[in-house]
This record gives sequence, structure tokens and C-alpha cells, in this order.
Amino acid sequence: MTILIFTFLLLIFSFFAGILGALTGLGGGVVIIPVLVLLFNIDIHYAMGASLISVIATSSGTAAAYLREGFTNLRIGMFLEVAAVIGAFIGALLIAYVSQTFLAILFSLILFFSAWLTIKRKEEEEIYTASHPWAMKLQLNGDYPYQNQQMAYHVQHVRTGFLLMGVAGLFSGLLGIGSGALKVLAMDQAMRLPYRVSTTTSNFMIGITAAVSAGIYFSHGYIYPPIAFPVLIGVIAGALLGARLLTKIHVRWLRIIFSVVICLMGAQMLYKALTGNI
Amino acid sequence: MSDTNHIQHILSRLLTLGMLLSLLLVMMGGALYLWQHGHETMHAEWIAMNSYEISIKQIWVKARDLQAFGIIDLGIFILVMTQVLRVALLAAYYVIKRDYWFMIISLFILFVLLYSLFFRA
Repeated sequence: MTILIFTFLLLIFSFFAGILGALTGLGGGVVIIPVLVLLFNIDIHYAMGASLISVIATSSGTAAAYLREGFTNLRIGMFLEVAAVIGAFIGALLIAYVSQTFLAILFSLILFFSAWLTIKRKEEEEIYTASHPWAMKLQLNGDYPYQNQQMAYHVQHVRTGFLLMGVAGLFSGLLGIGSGALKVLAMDQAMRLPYRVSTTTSNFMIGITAAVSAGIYFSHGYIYPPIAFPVLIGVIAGALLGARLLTKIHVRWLRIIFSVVICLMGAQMLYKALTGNI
Repeated sequence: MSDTNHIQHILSRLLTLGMLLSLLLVMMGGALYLWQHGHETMHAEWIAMNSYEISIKQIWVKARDLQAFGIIDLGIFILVMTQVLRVALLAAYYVIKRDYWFMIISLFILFVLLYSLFFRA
């Protein structure tokens, strides 16, 4: 295969990764890593570097549209980002003391469980008239476009959400993975936000989280330009399209897509753990 | 609420601008790279032979010399910096609004970002 053909194929895969990342709030790593490693036999570290680029690209490609349309809740995003950053920091410190295999198995189980929880929730049947006291104090409540009008929502269980986000950060620090799945969960399951608010706010945050690791990835040589450039271009194009699709797809379907994707992530994780490639 | 909308619009503009600039550079660098190497065969050891480590400071030098990798890296770096810029802008916004909790939150994240990008060994 010539480099030109490789670039072209990677561009197409990245485009789909971008669409999926934009719709799920997860970034495109779930597509990029297996494509590079299994299909093109690329070293896992370069695949992780490309995945990091895809996360930042998804975040950038969608952030503009989601901010303009008023889905993203900046206050919740920034508030939770603190927990994620602290968690990631502690995780990086603990890395020498915890079994990676055990963690990977645990994380994959969490992902399977999350998929089930995500499918199970029927937000349209929930009505909250009050908010968590912290949500009032920090002014976390907001509104979002829903069927051509602004719909207000009340934020629940702020402490649990913050704690879950810390755990998400801990896992990402320990396993060197993005933690978008747990970010969406913390907002969807604990704070009971509307689904589109959760995924778009996650998309806003994952770029910041990924940027924290970017310096390390550059200096380790994980970001290899010939792989990174088609990923960046393809993912941004896909994310721009995905951001347009978000409002057109029913929440029920968005939940199903998300659940399928995190099940695949869980399976990848489990496979890596059981074959000792963590 | 209108204040929040205002900052969201500014952020949205800024992110689009940074993204487009990054995209432009990466496309230019990518085209240059394909022009020079596109016809070569890609094989499994391709990457192992091209071990590539770079620090943030080196990116500038390589891009200035108009090398394909350097231009691509500069594009990626700009995309990373838009993330820093969005946090910085939010921090500035909360300072102006005298929203002290969120001022502390954004400055904390900004500090972690800048530290990990430029000062961590």
C-alpha cells in the first residue's frame, strides 16, 4: 500500500469517527485505535496519539456549533472538569501501585453496566421541579433548545456527579484513556441532565482534558504527523457534520448509538486485559 | 442569561477561527508531505524506523523551515492552543463578572493546562 492510499483510507475512517464522536460526546478514539492497530498494524502508541488528536478535533469541530445553539452548559463543564483534572492527577501518581489488568477489567464492566443504564433512562418521563442546593449556589441550571423552544432543566445530585467525574479522571490517569464515557454518565445518570446537554457538554470538556496530555504525547513521539494529519482533517469534517445531525436524531437513537459504542469500548478493553496487552 | 449567550458566541467564534487556521496548516503540511512521499510504500516497520519525538519549542523551528512535519505539528499545536484559549477566555469572563467560584475553577484548569503543556519535563 502506498502512503497516499493509506492517507486516503484513514481520512475516510476518521470522518466516520468524527460523526460518531460528535453524536456521543466520546471523541473518535473508539474507531481510530482499532482501525490503526488491527487494520494497518500501527504501533498502539501512535494509535493513542492519533486518538488524542481525534478527541481534540471532535471537541473543536463540535464546540462552535453546540455553543452557538445553546446546548453546552459551560458552568457544569468547567465545574466537573476540576474533578476530572484532580482525578487524572491522582491516577497518574497511583499508576505504579495498581494492577493495570484488574483496572481494565473493572473499567470494561463499568462500561457494560453504563450501556444498560443509558438505554434504561427515559428522560421524557422525568419531571423535576427542584434542583440540588449546590446547583442553585453555583448557578448550574440552564436551558436548551427543545422542539423550537428553550426548555429549562433542574440539575440533580451535584455531589455524586462531581465524585463520578473524579473517578472518570482517575481511570483516565491510570489507564491513559479518554474518559468521555464516564463524563456523559455523570451528567446523564447522576445529575439527570437532558441527554443532548450531557453529550455536548462532554464534547466541550474532552478537548480540554486531552490538551492536558498533549505535551506528554508530543515529547514521547506518540503524535506522528503522517498519521495525525489525515485523522485531524477527517475527524473535523465528520464532527462538523455530526454536530448538524445531533438535533435531527431522536434522543432514543442517540442513547442506543452511545450504548453500542461504549459496549465496543468495553469489549476492546476486556480483550486487551485478557490478552495481556494493556 | 444574555451574558452567558454573549460569551458563548465569542467562544464559538474563537474556536471556529482556531480550528480553521489549524486545518489550513495541517492541509498544507499534509499536501507537502504527500507530494514528497505519497508514492512510497507503507509497510509495517514504517513507523518504527521513523521514531519521532518533538518538544513544543522544536515545533516552531521545524515549521519556520517549511518542513512538512513541522507545518503539520504547528497546525496540531494551534488546535491544542484553542483549548487553552477557551479556558483563558472563560477565566477572564468570570473575573469581569466577579464570579469568584468560577474564577477560581477556570484559573485552576488554566494553570494545570499551561503547566502540563510547557513546564512538565
